[in-house]
Amino acid sequence: MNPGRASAALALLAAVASLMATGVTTFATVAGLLGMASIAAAVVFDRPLGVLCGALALAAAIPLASLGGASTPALVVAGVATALAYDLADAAIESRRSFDPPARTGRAELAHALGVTVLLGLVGGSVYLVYAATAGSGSPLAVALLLLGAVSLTAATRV
Amino acid sequence: MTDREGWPAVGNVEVRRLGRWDGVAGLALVGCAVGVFLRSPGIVLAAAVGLALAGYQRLATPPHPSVSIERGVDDRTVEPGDPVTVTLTVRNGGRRRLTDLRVVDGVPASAVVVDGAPACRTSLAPGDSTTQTYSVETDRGAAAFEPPLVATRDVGGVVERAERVAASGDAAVECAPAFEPVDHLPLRAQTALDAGRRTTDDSGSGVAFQVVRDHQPGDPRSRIAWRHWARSGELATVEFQPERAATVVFVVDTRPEAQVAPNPAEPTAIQRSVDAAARLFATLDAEGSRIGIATLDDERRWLSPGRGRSHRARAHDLLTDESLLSGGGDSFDPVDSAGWLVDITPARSQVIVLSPLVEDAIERFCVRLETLGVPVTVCSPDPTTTGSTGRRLARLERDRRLDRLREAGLAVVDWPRDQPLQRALQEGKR
Repeated sequence: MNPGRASAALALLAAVASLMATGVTTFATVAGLLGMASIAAAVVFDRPLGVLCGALALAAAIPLASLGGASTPALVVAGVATALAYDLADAAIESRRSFDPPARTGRAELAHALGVTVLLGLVGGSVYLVYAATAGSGSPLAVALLLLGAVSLTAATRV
Repeated sequence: MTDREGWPAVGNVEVRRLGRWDGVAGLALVGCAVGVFLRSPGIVLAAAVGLALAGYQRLATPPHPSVSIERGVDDRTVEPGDPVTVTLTVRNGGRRRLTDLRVVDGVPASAVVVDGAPACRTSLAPGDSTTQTYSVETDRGAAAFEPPLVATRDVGGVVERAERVAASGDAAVECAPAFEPVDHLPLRAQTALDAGRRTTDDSGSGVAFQVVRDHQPGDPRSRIAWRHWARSGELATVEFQPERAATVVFVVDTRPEAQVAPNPAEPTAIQRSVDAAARLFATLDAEGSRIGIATLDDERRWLSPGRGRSHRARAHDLLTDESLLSGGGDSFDPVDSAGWLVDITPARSQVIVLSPLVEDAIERFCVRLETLGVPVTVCSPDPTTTGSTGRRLARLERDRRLDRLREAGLAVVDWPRDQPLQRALQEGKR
């Protein structure tokens, strides 16, 4: 298998998952489709900018889906899938640029995809469980402030 | 990863953050703001995923690999143009899985990868190993491998640790010309007087029948043609072709003008000339001929014609000397060089000039030698191509030089780049 091919296929799968999670309104579906198409074109034509644009389109579909009444778990899944699609598409391009076709990279690509999926799944699951544990009673502002605090803490722990 | 630039020095460890998720934190904070504005906890939670990634990127540390590498080559000494198969075995000797391990072998600068890839990216459990195989072709001389580059990344692929790890096993390959005889080597008629196995145009004693002539007083009785006498009643003497050793001097054109190749990936005309000299040397050596070697660079290297084991060793040393290939000197004078060669070459020797004949001076040198009474055979590796008008012109000019040499009575073997030497020699005979 050529370098980057496994990551590219999994990136498209993640983009499809994001599209399915957010495809509750026409606008959200169009944004999701644009994002998926952009990521597909980017991994085929080796364009990192296309990956960024695709991820942004997938991310834009999340508030559009929220306006259309998408459930909170679906939005969390969309967030995880969007991040996964971006990471794997970027990894696909990096792998293709770094290794000539005879090189075998599939095993490492699958290991990376598995690792990132577990990482993002844990993050997504954790934040949703915390949200659900508070019975969804916390206001969005409180959650946002909590996240801002987490970011500040992270920044402070490492120079 | 396949570019030698940017590799850390041997003994150094480089850790770098790849910044793959740069900007995610900002985007996530914008998402948080949108979520607050729309009063949507789902958006804020989705943005939290991005924030978590940004946090991971900041906190992640690279794995410390314990990797051992063994390199093996299928042949440590190869002939020019022969590929060497390199096998690189990488083992994870640590106690943790290496999820993203990248290894690039330090292919010698003088080598070209012709098959496979010298790099691999894999994931290795503790104790596991992986094998990467590729093939290279090297230039003449010794080609030393450098320590491979080993890079490991964390599971998220955001931080990388790179270092050079010394490989056990084979560290170099040697590419030397083959002293492998050819089946046929056309020589000019003139020979020396020593006994050998090369049949000459002279007649006398030997084993190859040549002619029956009238008997003359003093002819040995052992060569009387008794059947002829029985048939005709007249005495006749059988003449045989004597087998004598030729004395041959190889003149290798090692001037800068001969440092030409059809393209950078192919051997230069000097390399091909030296390789041909090695093979022709082996051919004549097996026939018992006396062989000398001269070069046309400023150094004017000279090995007097001789034979035997020590002479063979000296010829081997001369023809495997890497400095031969650098094409030194710019003071070649055809008349002076021909005079020098005639002065030091034994009488009744003949000369085989190995040159691409890409300019006129070497043509004048060959003709001068011939006019001074030295039989000259020219074996010319063709470095020309037809890729452009200029190249086509160079080819035409070279063809005209070959024709003029033939017209001057020299034996000429034109050796095209895509043809084995053996075939070129056979066609040269015709």
